[in-house]
Amino acid sequence: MSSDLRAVTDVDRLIHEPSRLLIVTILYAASQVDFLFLLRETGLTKGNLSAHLSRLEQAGYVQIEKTFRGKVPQTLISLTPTGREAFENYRKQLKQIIKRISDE
Amino acid sequence: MKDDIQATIQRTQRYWYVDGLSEIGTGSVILLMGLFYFALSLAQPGTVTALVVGVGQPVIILGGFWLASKAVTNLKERITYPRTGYVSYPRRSGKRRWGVMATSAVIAIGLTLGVTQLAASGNRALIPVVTAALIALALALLGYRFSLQRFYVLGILVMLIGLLIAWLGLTEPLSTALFFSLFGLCMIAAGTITLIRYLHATQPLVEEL
Repeated sequence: MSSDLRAVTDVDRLIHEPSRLLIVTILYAASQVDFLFLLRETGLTKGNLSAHLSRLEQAGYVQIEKTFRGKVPQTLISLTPTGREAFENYRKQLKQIIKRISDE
Repeated sequence: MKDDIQATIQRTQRYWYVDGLSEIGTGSVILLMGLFYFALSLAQPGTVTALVVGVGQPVIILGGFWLASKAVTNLKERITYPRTGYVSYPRRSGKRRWGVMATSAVIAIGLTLGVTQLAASGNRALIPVVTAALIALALALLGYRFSLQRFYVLGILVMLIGLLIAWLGLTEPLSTALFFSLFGLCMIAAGTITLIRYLHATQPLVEEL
């Protein structure tokens, strides 16, 4: 496999999935968001969003906290330091790949 | 893909301004400052007036912005978060925080010195124009940072206010009073229009158990 192709396959596939990339990007820009905000911003269904968040939580990229705002249930999500670092590495890798392609 | 990532980050950061509440809060404090200067214009010049300005101005600015911040947060809890969700933003810490404070202090001191210089050189008529230009620049930078058109519009309005005040040739503190009052009203109007549009476009959602 050429080094260029290897670079593409080496990106973090957990983050690279389009819906999860959107979720992680949103979380990167904030310190904490709630489930409703993510639902609205991603346009995903509740089930879909929950599934993606579970995968990210299992990988240690996000922290999920179930709480209440008054009497209303609220799920708060934030990126862990591991998740933040993974996203930054992903962006660096992408930049390098794009730079390599544009140099050719 | 990189552009999409940056656009998403910007959109998330821009969410703070989605409801217009921060403009209403800031505009209210600026309007209050304008009213303070109006009250001052009615007072007799003297030691007591100088004392009131010296104490009252920082109290209104610092206290006003603190109160406005609390009010905006409270209103967002009641209006915005139930409709489109909750977001909190990372607080600047350490060097970045001190850097921003230092930059703000330098700008404030530079502005004060510049205005004082203009006043001393007899070019008082230029003071509202220069002040308006600096505020318009700050608003334009905000508009560019968060890709919000209404801040560009506010910047243009502020410039027009500055030119109007200069053209009217009012004495101090009436000139400052009118400038801040009109500027505050413009911000409140912009925030209110944004809030009305936001309320029409959204409904409160409830997370199910």
